[in-house]
Amino acid sequence: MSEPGTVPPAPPRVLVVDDASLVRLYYRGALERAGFAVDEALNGIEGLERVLTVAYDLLVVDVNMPKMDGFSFLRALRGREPPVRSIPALMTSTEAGEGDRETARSAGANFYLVKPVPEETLVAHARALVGRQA
Amino acid sequence: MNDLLEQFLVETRELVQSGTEDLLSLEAAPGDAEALNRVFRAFHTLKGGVGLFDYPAWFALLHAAEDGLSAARAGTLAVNAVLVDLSLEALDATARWTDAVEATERLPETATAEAATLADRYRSLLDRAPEAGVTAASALPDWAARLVGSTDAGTPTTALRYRPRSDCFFSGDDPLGFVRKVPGLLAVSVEPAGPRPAGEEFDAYACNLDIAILTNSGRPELDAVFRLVADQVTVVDVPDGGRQPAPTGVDRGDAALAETEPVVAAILSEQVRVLAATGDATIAAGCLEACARSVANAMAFAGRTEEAERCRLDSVGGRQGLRATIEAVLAGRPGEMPAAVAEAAAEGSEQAGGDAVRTLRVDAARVDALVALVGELVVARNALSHVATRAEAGEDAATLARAIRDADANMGRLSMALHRNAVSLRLMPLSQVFRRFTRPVRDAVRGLGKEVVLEMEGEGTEADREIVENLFEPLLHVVRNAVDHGLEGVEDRLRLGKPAVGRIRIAAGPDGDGIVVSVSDDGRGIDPAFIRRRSAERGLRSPHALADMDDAAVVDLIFAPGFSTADSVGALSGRGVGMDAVRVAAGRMGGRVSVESRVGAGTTVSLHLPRTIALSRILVVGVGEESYGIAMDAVLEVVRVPRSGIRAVDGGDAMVRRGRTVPIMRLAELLNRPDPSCTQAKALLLVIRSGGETVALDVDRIQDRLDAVVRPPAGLVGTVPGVGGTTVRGDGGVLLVLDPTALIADAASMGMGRFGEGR
Repeated sequence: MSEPGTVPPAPPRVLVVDDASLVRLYYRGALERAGFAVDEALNGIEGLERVLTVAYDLLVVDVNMPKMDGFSFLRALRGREPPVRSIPALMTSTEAGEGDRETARSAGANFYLVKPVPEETLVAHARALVGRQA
Repeated sequence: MNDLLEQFLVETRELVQSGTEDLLSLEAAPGDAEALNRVFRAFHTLKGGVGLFDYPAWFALLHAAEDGLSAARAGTLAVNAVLVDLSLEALDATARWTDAVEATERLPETATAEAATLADRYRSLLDRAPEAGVTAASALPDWAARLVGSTDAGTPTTALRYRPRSDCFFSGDDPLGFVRKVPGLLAVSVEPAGPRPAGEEFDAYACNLDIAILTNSGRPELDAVFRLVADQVTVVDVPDGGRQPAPTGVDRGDAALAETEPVVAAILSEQVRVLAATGDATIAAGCLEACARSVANAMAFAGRTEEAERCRLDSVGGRQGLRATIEAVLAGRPGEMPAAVAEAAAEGSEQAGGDAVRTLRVDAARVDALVALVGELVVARNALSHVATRAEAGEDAATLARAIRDADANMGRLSMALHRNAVSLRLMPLSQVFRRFTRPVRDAVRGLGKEVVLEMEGEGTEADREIVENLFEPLLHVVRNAVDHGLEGVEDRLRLGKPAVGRIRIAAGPDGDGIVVSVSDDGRGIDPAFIRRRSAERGLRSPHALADMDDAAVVDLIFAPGFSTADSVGALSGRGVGMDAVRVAAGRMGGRVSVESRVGAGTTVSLHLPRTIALSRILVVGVGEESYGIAMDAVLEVVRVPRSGIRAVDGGDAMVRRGRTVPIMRLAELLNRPDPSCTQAKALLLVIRSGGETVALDVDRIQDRLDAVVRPPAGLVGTVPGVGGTTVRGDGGVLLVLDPTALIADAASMGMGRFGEGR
């Protein structure tokens, strides 16, 4: 694809924070097929550790997780210093209720999708949130 | 004037200021992409602001400027002196028109012609015909265009794309059933929405369809059919039966976003909800930034890079600005984005975006302290009403008096503390004054055969708003003097073994309770011999007095009124043009000026100013029937001297005090009041320090001392020399507070006093 002498841009990097290994696998597959580089974290604490060491373009965050849930993770993240605190976050949850959506918003989630999330929906939102065709 | 216009004027001036600075940095470093971006954004925001009002000529100019800068950003137009100068001219015009609009709400007569000329110059830079339009792009999204191209059945008016959710069958949706119900159906295409998963992953019950249709019915009919699955449907109008490229508006954003990019539109509207969600204050900034970044990314993803740029938090200004911006984009009115910003600002809404220029940033601790004090004040007031109850109960006067005194003392302490606190809320950094000097220095040097580098230090020093805002004029005077008279030309400097480029340094820092702002140059310095000669010529001091003065005191004479006159401008080797104006301005702010100079090495002029406009201690003195205030800090001492001890010296009065001769001036005489009969055996004298001299003021009586906020003179009083301000007395009357230095100087310039000659 790339012309001689040009360096292809690094793929956008996504961190999937979810305790369910099947979900992580599904998201990883979908996002990697779409050209994203994917890392995984099992809960909010691990997520924070990763976020503070690697520059991510997008976070895909589950709500219910042991140790630190998705809401606490996002709140902790949004309360940190720039630029870490401004990473767009896509929250996915099995809860379709308005209450959970509102909690996600006030924790600073930039979009909320109800599981199961179709592959194309996940990819479309991920692409829009990172601002480029991965 | 309405709030919106007022806000517009404020914002426009700020943008002119910041745009000017960025243009100057661009001039210094033409490759500075960040500076170019900032200049572009400044013009863009200016244009948006002007567009809110009916000033077509102005708008056209800014539009042309924006086009030019946009081309520069795209790399198709070189960033050079021509572009920078032209843009500076455009900003100058904008500044002038802002003043005109403020005064009359109209542009000056000449504006139309001037705007047209400037706009033409931009266009000639772009080498483009004046009427060249915007390149038209197809308004139809790809899927619709493909469908239109694949069929010639009838004249479609509307295209619809329906991508059912994969679980739609479980919600009872019948995708093809909906399609069958569409009236006036002309063409249908059904394609798989994605690759068919193989093997175990294949789900026979998951819908994987992407349906596109063309119809000659309108949106309302389609909306009715697809109302249950509205979130999965995109509708676009097919103009002219799809045979012609759709006419596009000036702005690409005319097609509502929801129709072309539903995911982007959904993300944008979600950000509005996220912004509205009430989160914890500690994460508000992070949430706001994340929203801004998401919006900008989504816009970039939709290919609207220019709008993505505009969505950046620092250009939209805070939460309300971002929100209004998103709503404007969603409504397909991106051109109105800056309008939304202006409105948001007019609402006085929070500005989380870090715009320190417009907002008054206050340390939270200061507000907390203020609130605590107000609480105490409420308690203290309760104590007072308790005393009233005791008085009603007939308690004896002495006890009551003590209780009232206690309450009074307490209230007094609290109100002083409140004042101190409130004053501290008004502190702001000097940086915004300092930044304004880049341009005047550049302009002043032009054509003088001089080169100068401007250095600044201590911009973070804080002072009261009032002081910061009034500092520019006097400082400008000093800076211009430094350029005009202080610095030598390049050739002279080289001959003297100095670096070719002169140095002017504006520095600020703390100075006791107050601040000091100084302007230094490394120019020729002030020659005391010249000042002596000049002062003697002008009769400012007697040759006798001059001989007694040391060089420092002589150099201080540049601040004396009447030292410089127009005819001396060309001849002056040092400074001094209008330096008395600087002294007066500093005095008005409750400060003073000083100068330090070494011949051949340079000059430093310092303004010593209070940090806050605090309470002043005022001495109320009586002259004849009238009372005047005199700031206590000007008074060195108050003495009673037997009239027999006053000598007539050289036509004036004087006394000997601590071995020095102190001239005595009658306050009544200085004020042009009827001369009181000097019946008292002893004269009451206020010994004051005035412009480096000690002078005694003869007054009739001292009436009172009070703590008061002295307001700068305004209106008629402002034109009376020697009046430093006014304050309101306890009885509601207005007290004129005199500025003895100005008063004496004024009298001296009128040839009344013999001040300085009384030795």
